[in-house]
Amino acid sequence: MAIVDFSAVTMQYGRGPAALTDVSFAVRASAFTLLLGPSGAGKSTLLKLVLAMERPQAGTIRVAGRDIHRLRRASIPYLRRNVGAVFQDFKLLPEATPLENVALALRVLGASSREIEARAGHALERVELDPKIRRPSRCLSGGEQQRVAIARALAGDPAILLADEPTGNLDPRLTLEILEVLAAVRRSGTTVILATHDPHVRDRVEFTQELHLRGGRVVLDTATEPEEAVA
Amino acid sequence: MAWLRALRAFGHAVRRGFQGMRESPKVQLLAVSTTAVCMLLLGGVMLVWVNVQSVVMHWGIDVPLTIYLRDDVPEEELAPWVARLAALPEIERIERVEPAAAMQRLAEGLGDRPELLEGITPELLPATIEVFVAPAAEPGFVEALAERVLEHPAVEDVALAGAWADRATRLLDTLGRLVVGVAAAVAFASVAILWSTIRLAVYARRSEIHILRLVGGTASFVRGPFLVEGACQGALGAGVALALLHLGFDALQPYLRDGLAFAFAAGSLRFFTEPELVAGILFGAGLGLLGSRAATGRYVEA
Repeated sequence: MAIVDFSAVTMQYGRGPAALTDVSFAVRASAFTLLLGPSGAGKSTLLKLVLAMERPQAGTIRVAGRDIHRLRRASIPYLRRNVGAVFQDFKLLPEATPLENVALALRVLGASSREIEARAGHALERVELDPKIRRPSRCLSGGEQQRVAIARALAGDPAILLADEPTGNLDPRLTLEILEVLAAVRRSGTTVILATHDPHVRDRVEFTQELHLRGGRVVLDTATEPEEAVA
Repeated sequence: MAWLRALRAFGHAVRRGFQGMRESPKVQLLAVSTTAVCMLLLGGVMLVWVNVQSVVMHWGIDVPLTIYLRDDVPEEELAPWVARLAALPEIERIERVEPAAAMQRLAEGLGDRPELLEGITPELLPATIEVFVAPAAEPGFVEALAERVLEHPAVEDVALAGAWADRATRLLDTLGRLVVGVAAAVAFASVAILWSTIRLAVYARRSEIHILRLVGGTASFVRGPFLVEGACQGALGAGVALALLHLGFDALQPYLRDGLAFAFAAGSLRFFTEPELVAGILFGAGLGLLGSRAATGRYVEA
């Protein structure tokens, strides 16, 4: 069953050229989907659409059974609680500790202090970070900061994890570490969609679906067609 | 449980709101002090207004017609006549003031000079009927009524507030309109001040707002701390203004009493009552809420 389903989606920012044109694909639950394409191919736009941060001009998008187009503005936060997201720039509160950063995602759920501490600690352990770290997040290495961001995205037990160039700021060793964390997340049953411009990532991670974007169009979807046919 | 989650969200809003205020003490000081200046202006005008009203009531200017009754009129004769009088469409209401009540009023009016009442007993004072006329009554109605009333055997005399009382009432109305105007101007200025400080806070915490939206924070959850901050700034501003006003009032009161003893008879010069003070602080908090709600706008929405 598809957990993310795009059907003939077209998206344009203002009067500029279309960021996505007639994009259709489906991601099955518990899949690891690799979204590949050069800068400007439309990868980030596609992830923003999944998060309902943008609305398409045409087409339909279903995320975890919800039609994004029919979603009221007030319902969007509830969708996002089911879709975790990590970014190249981590998007952490620099002065807050890792635990405090992860706790933010649980606070919005209305969890109790005890529950927040337990679940945030567990989420940090899941990405192999010590929950007792008391240093501000800005003092952590890039790899550690990205782990904190992943822990925050996973804290609320989302069905989907979106990763937008999560290794863009990391050296090869840390990149591998983060990819391993994402693979472990997928093994625990969470659907992972990883967007990257780096084609070498496909050799370093075990994925179930490959989606190539170029100029805002899907040029390869291994879930529907064999790779050789497009090449 | 939804109510428990709402309670926790409220707790978060209060904690984060206060934390936000601690993070930028200079901005808070600026917001509170400028709001206090605005509120001081409003409080000053309102204080003048309530005291002028108090003087008017003390003088009885607000009672257009007072009927003095004879002592020997039996109640069964008086009651139907009073009822007929009260039923006139031009009359808003009437109040019967018995000698004991009149004596009490007199004593209250003299305040700390009770020696002036020595030897006077309630029996010496006449029973009266105070007639309050409806605003829609035609000009000249009170005078015509007074002439007719004077013919009644139960009536000893009548007293009209007179034209000067009309002027005083008009002055009171003008002052009332001025209070409303100043209140509107102060409300606008305060909301604008609080809007700009909360806007600064929103800008300073834009990363946090972005993250909260990303992890599924609802608009009310994200906005909550800013509302708390704005309400606190408004309430503090109003509180500071009222405290300053109280200090000023205490300092000026002896001079006003001595200099304007004729107008401000003992007991008629007053500061705001406790409910009025609470209302003032709530008014400030309300303006803060309005300002912060406008400052966060759609920025906090998904």
